[in-house]
Amino acid sequence: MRPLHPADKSRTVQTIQNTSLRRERLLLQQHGNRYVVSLWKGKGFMSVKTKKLFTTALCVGLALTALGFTCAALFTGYPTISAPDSASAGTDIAVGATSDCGGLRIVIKDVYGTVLFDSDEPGGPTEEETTDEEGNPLFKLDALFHIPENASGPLTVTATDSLGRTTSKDINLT
Amino acid sequence: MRGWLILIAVSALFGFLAIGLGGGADVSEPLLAEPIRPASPEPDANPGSPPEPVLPVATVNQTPHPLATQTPAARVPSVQADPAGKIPPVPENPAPLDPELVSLLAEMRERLAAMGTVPKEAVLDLADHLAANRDSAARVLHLMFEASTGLGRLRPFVFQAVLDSKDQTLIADLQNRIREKSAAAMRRLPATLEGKRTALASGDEKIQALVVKNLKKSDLRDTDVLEWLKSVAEDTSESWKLRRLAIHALGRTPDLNATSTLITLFTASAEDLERASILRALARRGTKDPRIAQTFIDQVFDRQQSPAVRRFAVMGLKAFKTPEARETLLYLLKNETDKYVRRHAMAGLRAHLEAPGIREALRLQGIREKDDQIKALIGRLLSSQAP
Repeated sequence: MRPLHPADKSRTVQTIQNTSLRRERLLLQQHGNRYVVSLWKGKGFMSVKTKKLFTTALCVGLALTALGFTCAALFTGYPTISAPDSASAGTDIAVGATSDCGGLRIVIKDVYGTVLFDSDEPGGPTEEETTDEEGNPLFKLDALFHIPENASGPLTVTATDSLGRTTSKDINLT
Repeated sequence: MRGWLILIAVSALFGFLAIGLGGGADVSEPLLAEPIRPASPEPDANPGSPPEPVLPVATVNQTPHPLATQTPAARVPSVQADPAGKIPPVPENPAPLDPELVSLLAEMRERLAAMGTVPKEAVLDLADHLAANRDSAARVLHLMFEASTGLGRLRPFVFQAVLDSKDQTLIADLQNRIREKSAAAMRRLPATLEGKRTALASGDEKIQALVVKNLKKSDLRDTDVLEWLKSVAEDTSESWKLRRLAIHALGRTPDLNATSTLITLFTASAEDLERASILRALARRGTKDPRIAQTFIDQVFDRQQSPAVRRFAVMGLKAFKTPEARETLLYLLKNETDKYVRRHAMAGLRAHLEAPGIREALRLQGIREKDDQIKALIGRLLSSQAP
């Protein structure tokens, strides 16, 4: 009597032995009202143990993918900008930037890309170095900016640190 | 089976790529925070200021940058609250912080440690509390400007909460503190060139840094000042902060030899941050010298360079209006993986908006763009007309 394929679960009553190193399986199979013990030798090039290993690797890979994309989506990163969402022309606004790396620079441009404020210019605010709760360096730069009466918004505040990381925030003019 | 193997390899590759190229990976930020523990109050180095309140602190593991100076933060001189304002100054022996304020700050700190950022709604909750509670507002300003850590990594979010409170008195007080701090720094700045020369020779790093940062164009024509800047920029035994300021000042000087000095320094330097700073200075040298554009393009396409070097190289290219610069920026916007390089490239393309094909290329890029900041800039540029 020709044995059934091992994949035919409906007819395979029990896998008596599932050897891990050799690709052999001893199956108890039902044929009508008779039971047959069949020895199947796999044709794949991978043993059951190897298959398990690769399945684990697949799961780890998928988990890392999910974790990586979640973290990428959640973390905003440095530098961090504090600026009002909207402001009126002709008024002063306070803007702040923070980074774990020094050399902070704040630039404010109008809608046409004209630079209205550059903290690197002489007379600009001076960066301060402090530490976070763990004693790691933390740099902060606070600036006051007077929005010209004729400024065209939205204004874009851009903070850049010495690592070339940059963050922008728009300020709508009301 | 071969299909399985390919799937496994691809998924693992994506996993590592996602972590490696994600926003958080390059800033050594913890993905998950350790449990929150109460902080012990630090001894106050400034006996005149009131003691700092104890806030719950989440521990983080950050590796200090190799070139970051490790000196403890200098205390900001105590600034009195504006007597005309309605925000009361913090008394000598302040009462404990409002429990609601403590709770809000603790929650923000917890979110920051767990997520790497503070959600907008948490910032708005604090803003509402500050608008309704004058004492809390005064204490928060005190923490921001006079406490030893200035609220640490939480500071930008508290700063934002003050702005979001829409309380004009509170915002005016914040502005006064910034104005006072700036004025105090400027008062220390020598008025004459002779005074600046003396300050540079003084050996006091703080005053040297202040003078270098504020050197005017006329000061930068002075031979003594220029020689001092060059010697400090080249002297690796000087502090990195002072060297960085000297390099940036060389970028502003009208002296034509400064370009050669900076390029020579760049070629000789092996330190990534130093090379990045030199490129930042070169970006201010104008577009006349062809060596500058060539230096930027060479670094942009050199994948062996650190991200910081490549980012400043792209930033430098922004000033060039040549077709070569335009094609480079467009290529980087479309194909680069580093989001900061792409942001600089996008900012640079603003100057090429009217070149043939650029608007259409940006329109197509805007459809598939994932970075919110780039997407917003594309939208704004395409909807605006040249002045």
